[in-house]
Amino acid sequence: MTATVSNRAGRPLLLRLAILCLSLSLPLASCLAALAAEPSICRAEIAAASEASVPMLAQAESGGAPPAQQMAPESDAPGGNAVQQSARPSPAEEHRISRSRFHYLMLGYGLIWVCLAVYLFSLNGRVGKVGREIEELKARLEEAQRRSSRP
Amino acid sequence: MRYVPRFSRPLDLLALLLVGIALYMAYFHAPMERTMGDVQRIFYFHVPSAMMAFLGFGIVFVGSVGFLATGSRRFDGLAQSAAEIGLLFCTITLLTGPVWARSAWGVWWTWDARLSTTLILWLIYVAYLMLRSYMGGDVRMRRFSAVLGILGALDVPIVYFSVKWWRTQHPTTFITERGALHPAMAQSLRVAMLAIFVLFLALLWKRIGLERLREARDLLRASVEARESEPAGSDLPRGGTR
Repeated sequence: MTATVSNRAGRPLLLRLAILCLSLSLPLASCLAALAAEPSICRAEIAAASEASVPMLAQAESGGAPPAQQMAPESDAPGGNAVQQSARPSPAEEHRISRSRFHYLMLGYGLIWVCLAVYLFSLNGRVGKVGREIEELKARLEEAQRRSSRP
Repeated sequence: MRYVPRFSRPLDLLALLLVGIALYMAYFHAPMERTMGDVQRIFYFHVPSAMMAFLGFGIVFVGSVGFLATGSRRFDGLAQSAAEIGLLFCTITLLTGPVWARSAWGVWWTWDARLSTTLILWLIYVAYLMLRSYMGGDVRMRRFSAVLGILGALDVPIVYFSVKWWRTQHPTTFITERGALHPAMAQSLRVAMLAIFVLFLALLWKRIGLERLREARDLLRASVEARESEPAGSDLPRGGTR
């Protein structure tokens, strides 16, 4: 692999801002998508809360395996709608459950973007530093060549 | 001046596009999991990140063996670059896992076999990169780090099979089992894997580009030092020798 060089001495402020906006657009899109998905969280949590026989925390405390091996969509839940209609938790509880789960989802994806952004910034910083060193060395080489060709 | 590795921009754009599609599919195409709810959607980036960490450490193994066999700096640079990217994805796995675990198990962390061996893997490669950054760039250091890179990669199969060898809280491998995932979930997972794979390649390519730049800088520095040590006027023709 070879490194190509583009003759841009420095990016203008507007271009930098555009790059920053672009780099932020992915986490923002993720947040917006999570927000759009939020009403469905409420529905799922209502169903989960009403199925008192399978509380996940109790399952974890008893040392059992998490339910990831039995991943099934909400629509596959046997009698899910009937349960939803028959035993609804209070609105305050619905809100609490949905908010707590939503925060975990946001936290999970937020951490992914933070890790990637920090790494990309660090990598770009290192590339910039080595690039500046190369420019400096090139200038020194030209100077040395000029000096050595002087009588 | 900006130094950009060739093909880096198209690869970046492809990665961005695929990650966007993967996000869309994770949020809107994949149905919600019955018991865990939407928190389960972390799965679509958690599992591919773990796989890319394994891939990264596998490349470290290949690069380290190649360096020990040939002594080529290219292999060493490949190993170092892959270790960094593998560590990044391992970090993502170790961060997103506890968030999911807190919601599913009720605890952020538990010392079960899968989690502990993954943490050990992460620590080995943190040590690998620390060794490289603190011990300079001589050949002995490169050999030491190649040996550490190989030893660290041997932990990958232990992490992978830990759920089979020991009784753990972590789910056993279920992706390959037929019918274990809902078709829409499986599709979303495949797209997320492709997206994270392309992202991995884009990052690795950039990181290898940095290694190439460092090589170019070292060569340039050597030639500048050689030039500067020459006496003034040495380029002029002398006694018919030039």
